Amino acid sequence: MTLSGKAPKIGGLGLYAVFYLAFIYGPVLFLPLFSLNDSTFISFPLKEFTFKWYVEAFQSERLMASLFNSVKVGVPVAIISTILGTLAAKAITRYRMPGKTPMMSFLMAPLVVPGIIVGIALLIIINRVGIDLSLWTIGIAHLPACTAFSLWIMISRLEGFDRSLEEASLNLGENAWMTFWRVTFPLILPGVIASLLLTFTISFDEFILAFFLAGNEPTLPIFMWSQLRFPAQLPPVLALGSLILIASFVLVYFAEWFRRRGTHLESSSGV
Amino acid sequence: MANESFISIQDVSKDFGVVRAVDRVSIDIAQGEFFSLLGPSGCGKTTLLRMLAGFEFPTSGEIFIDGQPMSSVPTNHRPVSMVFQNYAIFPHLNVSQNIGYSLRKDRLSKADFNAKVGEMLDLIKLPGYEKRASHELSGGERQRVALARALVRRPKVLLLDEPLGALDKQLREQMQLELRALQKSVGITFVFVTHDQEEALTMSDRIAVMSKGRYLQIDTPTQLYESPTSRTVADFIGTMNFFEAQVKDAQNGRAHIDVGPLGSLSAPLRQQKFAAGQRVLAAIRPEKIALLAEPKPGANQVKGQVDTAAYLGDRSHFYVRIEGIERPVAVSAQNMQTAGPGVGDPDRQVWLSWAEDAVVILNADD
Ligand SMILES: Nc1ncnc2c1ncn2[C@@H]1O[C@H](COP(=O)(O)OP(=O)(O)O)[C@@H](O)[C@H]1O
Ligand SMILES: [Mg+2]
Repeated sequence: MTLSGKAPKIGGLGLYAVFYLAFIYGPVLFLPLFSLNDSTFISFPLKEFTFKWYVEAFQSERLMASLFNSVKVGVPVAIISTILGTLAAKAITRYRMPGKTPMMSFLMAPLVVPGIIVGIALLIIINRVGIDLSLWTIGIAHLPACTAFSLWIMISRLEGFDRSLEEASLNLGENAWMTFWRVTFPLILPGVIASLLLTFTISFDEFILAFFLAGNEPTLPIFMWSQLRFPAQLPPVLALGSLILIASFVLVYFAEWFRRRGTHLESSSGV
Repeated sequence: MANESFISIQDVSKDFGVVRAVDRVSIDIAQGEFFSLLGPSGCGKTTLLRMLAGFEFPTSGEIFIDGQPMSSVPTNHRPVSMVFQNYAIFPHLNVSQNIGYSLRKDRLSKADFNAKVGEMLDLIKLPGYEKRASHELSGGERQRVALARALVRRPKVLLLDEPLGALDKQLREQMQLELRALQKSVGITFVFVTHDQEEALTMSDRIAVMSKGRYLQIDTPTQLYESPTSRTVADFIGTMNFFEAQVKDAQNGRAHIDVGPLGSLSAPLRQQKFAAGQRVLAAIRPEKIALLAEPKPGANQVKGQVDTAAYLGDRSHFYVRIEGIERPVAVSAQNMQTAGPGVGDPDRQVWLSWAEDAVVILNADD
């Protein structure tokens, strides 16, 4: 190494990173750009600056209804999948049991099985059983993948968890339930919050399963997709999309922040 | 239950699958005793301690604490506190919340709670530490906080699993003394696990030496050192010279043995029984052998030649070759005046001499 090592140079790797980010985020940035453009057509050159699409978006009953539908599915899915993921993670990390590895693979599979296959399969079953398609069926379809995601987050949380902390609490006279509330839960809380935020995000913008399993109440991604055919409807969708984009960034940022904060806390527990 | 034994471990075994971690151990511990479990890593000390704490349950046998059988008592209902090997300080709580963790059920007023925590902080010599976050504590401070947290609920027994293992040597020696003084002042029965024989010797009232899940000998530190009952114990605690010997006769508390090149001698029997003709080991500690530059008339002695000599300041260590004995004999001498004969003078001829009462006779085959 010479002195030149001190001055940061944009080498091949740096250049790669710049292109990478531009490629990933560049197209996305057109969303807010055109959502602020005073023209029904998505094309250059840009016209006047305007907020009217935002106003229109909030005035569109159907758009708002679909947004609300997505929240109605996302919130319970996030809560239920996080509870299931946490319990499963606790069982997997705490107890020695036979068939742990195959079971893990089984629980994680929804993350890699193509949505379209799951969607068709679920649709067939639901038709057979005779359940009507509704927000419920979408929510049920979202649960396996969200639970797998939550499990993945919670396992990494609980694996770094020092078992003797729970034993210490029991030894100091608390029962299992109080030990969970006074020791386990506060220590895994960052993971729980990260899991809630991420599973909500996954459910919120999931398209394929929702497309197969939606009744007459569309979720937001489905509604947006249906509007693509009508150019006049597009700008308000872009406006809402931009807001969701910002909200997603904030959510994921917080989720990551909580996850890391947890890691810091835990590393201080060792000797 | 006998009144004497406050903790009574009766024929306790613990299996983990095919591994027998603790093998038919029976130990009685008196109230207020400082009792140590000593043995190499993996010999089952932690497992035995965890059974006393109620984290593990015996595969067979029974543990009594204060006269009560413990087989169906979970840890949170036992009058037993544990200091963990890694201290297990709750990372999300500060020092005061850690120490007062077990006081929730007492529903104390804030003032009473603070008073109790303050009292414990005084006891562990960390006054004013209430609001410290757990990650702001040094290793020694964590150890003290763990101690205070365990003691605040006034347990009848305190279990400590190698609590000083993570500390540096100087701090460890200081904590050994403090822990012993603390135990005397609170009067609680301590069961202390260590693999460090010096630590066990300095701190304990009695020690159980363990090996491979079994205990070999339970005795006071002096008895363990002066009168080990097996070769393993003699070897594990301190250094010991062993010589092959044969019993000529054994009666009236003494045995006459023939120790080959060292000649015949008469050594005390320590509640042992040996038959005439039996092959045994004669064992003697390095510091109980005198190293002489000249033969001394009338003493038990043998001629030898210094093999190696190490000067350690306060004392010197020698290895002395004796004709007819395979391994050189270890001798440790206090340097009262000089460095002793043989230091800086290898191959020097010396005489080794010992008092017969310092010789321990051991079974040859254990
Ligand atoms: N939970 C467990 N599962 C399986 N084997 C164990 C478990 N705990 C201890 N052992 C085994 O029992 C033996 C004694 O372990 P331990 O009590 O921790 O020894 P020590 O504390 O003396 O080092 C070891 O062979 C160890 O591998
Ligand atoms: Mg151990």
